[in-house]
Amino acid sequence: MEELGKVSLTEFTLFGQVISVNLTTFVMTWVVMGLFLLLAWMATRKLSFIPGRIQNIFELIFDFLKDITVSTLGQKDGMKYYPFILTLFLFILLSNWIGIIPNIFKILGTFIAVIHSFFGDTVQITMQGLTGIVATVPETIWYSALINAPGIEEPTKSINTDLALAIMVFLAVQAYGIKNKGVVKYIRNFVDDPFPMKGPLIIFFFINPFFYLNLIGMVANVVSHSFRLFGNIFGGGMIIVIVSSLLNYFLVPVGLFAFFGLFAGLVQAFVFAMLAVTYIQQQQ
Amino acid sequence: MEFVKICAVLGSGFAMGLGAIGSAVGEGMIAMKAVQSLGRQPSASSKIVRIMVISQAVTETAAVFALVISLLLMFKSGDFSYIKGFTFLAAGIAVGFGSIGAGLGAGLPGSSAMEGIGKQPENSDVLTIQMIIGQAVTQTSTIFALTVALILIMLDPEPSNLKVFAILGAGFAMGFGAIGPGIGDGLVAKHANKAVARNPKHMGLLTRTMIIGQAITETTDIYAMVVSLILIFVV
Amino acid sequence: MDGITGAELIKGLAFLAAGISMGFGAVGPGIGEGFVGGKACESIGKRPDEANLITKTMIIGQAISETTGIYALVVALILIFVV
Repeated sequence: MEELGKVSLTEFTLFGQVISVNLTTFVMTWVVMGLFLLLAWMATRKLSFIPGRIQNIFELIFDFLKDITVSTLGQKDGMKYYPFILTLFLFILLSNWIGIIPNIFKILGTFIAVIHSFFGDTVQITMQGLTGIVATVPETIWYSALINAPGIEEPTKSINTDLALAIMVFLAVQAYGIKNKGVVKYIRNFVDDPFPMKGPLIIFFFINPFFYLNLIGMVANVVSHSFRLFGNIFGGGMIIVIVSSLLNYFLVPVGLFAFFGLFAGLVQAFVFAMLAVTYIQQQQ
Repeated sequence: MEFVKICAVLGSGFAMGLGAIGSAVGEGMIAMKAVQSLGRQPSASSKIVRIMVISQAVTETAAVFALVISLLLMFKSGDFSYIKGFTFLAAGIAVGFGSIGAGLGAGLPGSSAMEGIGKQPENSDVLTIQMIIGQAVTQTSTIFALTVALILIMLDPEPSNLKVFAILGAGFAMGFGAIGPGIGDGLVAKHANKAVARNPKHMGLLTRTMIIGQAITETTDIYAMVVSLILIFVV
Repeated sequence: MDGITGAELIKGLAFLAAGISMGFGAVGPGIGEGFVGGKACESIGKRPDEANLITKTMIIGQAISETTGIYALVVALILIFVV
C-alpha cells in the first residue's frame, strides 16, 4: 500500500527556474506514442480490399467514430475535425489500456534474483504473505535496475496529461468558433450570450453578470473535461492497488482489472472524444 | 491516541451505515419489478431470476466500496496525531453519503430492465448488456467518493486548526456531491433501458446517447471532487 | 490542539461551508440533468431519426441545468480563496 502516493520526480533548472517532471508519466507518454505509431504502421502496412485482422479492427473503430462525428458536425466540418477526434480517442484508449500490462521488468528481475539466491548470500529473498516475494538486491549488481524500475502506469493517471489534452481541445474549439463565426460575432456571442445588448451598449459588457458566468463556464468545461478522465482512471488504479493489497497479492482481482482497465478505459476514451465533438458543435 | 481511534470507529460506522441505504433500496426496486414480471410471464422465470441476480450484484458495488472503507477504518491502529482522526471521520462521511446515490441510481436501470424483460422476454440479451453498461457507468460517482476517501485515509497532513475544518469540508463536499449525480445517472440509464426494451434494434444509438448524457450528468460530481481535492491539498 | 482564535474560526468555518455548499449544490443539478438525459433517451427510442436534434437539445438543456452547480462551485471557490 506504500506505493500509492509514490511519484518519481526529476528536478532540473532551466533559466533559473526549478522544473520538476514526473518521470514515469513522461516516459510512459512516449511509450504510448511509440506504440501508437507502431500500431498505425502495422494497420496500414498491407492495406487490402479484404481486410486482415488488424485492419479490420481499425476499420471498425474508424467507421464507428466517423459516423458519429460526421452526423453531428456535418460532412465538411466533420471530415475536417475527424482526424483530431480519432487521434484523441486512440491515444486515450491506448493510454488507459497500457496500465493492465503487468510490471514485466520487476517480475523478470525478481525471477533472476530468486535463481541468484541459490548460489550465494548477496541476495535476500523475503516472503510477504503467500505470494508476495520481495528481493533485496545491492545496487552494484547489474539487474538491480530491473527490480527498481518504475511500474507501467497509465499516462492518463496523471492530471498533467489530462489537463494538457483538455486544453488542446479547448484551443481547437475556440479556433473553430472564431473561424466559423468571425471575430466580431464570436466575441459578441461570448459577451452577451443570453441577453443580446443593442449597438454601442456593448461597451458596458462588464456590468453584465452573464459575461462573468460565461467566463467561469468556459473554465469549468476544461476542468470537468480533464478531471472526468483523471478521476476515473486514477480511482480505478487506486481501487485495484487497495484490493490487491487487502488480498495480500494472493489473488489478482481479474474482474476489477477487466472493469477498470478495459471497460472504464474504453468508456472514458469515448466520452472524452465525444465531448470534444459536442464542444465543437456548440460553436456552430 | 484514544481520540483518533474514536474518530476512526465513528467514521467506520458512518461509512457502512449510510453506504448500505442506497444499495438496499436499489436492490429492493429490482426485486420488486422482477416479481411483477414473474407474475406476468411465469414461463420466463429462469431468465428473469438470473438477470435479477446479475443486476443486484452490480447494484451491490456501492455497498461493497463502503464496506472496504469501513473495514480499513475499523482496523486502523498506530500512533497518529489528532488530525488523522478528522481525516478518518471525513473519509467515512465521504464514502457513506457518496454510496447512497450510486446504489439508488444502479437500482433504477435494473428495475426498468426487469420490467422490459417481463414484457418482452425475447429481448433479454440485448437488454442485459445495456443494463450492465448503464449500471457500470452509474458507479462513477461512488468511485470518485472512494478515491477521495482513500486519499483521506492515506494522508498525513500538518496538524493545524484550519486543516481540521478543511478536511471535514472535503468529506462533506464529496459525500453530498455524489448523491445527486448518482441518482441522475440512474435516471438516464433507466429511460435508455425502457427505450431499448421497446426498440432493441436502435441499441447502439441509445447506448451512445446514454453514455454522453451520463457523462454530462456527472459534471457536478467532478466539481465536488475538485473542491474536495483543493480543500485537501491546496489549503 | 492550541486554542483557536476568532480569525482562524472564521476561515475554518468558511472551508467547512465551502464543502457543504459544493456538496448540497451538486445534488439538484445531478438529479435534474438525469431527468433531461433520461427523457432524451426515451424520445430517441420513439423517434430515432431525430437523434441529432434530440442530442443537441439534451446537451443544451443539461448545460443550463448545470448552471446552479456552477454557482455552487463559484461560491465554494470564493469561500476557500477570498474569505
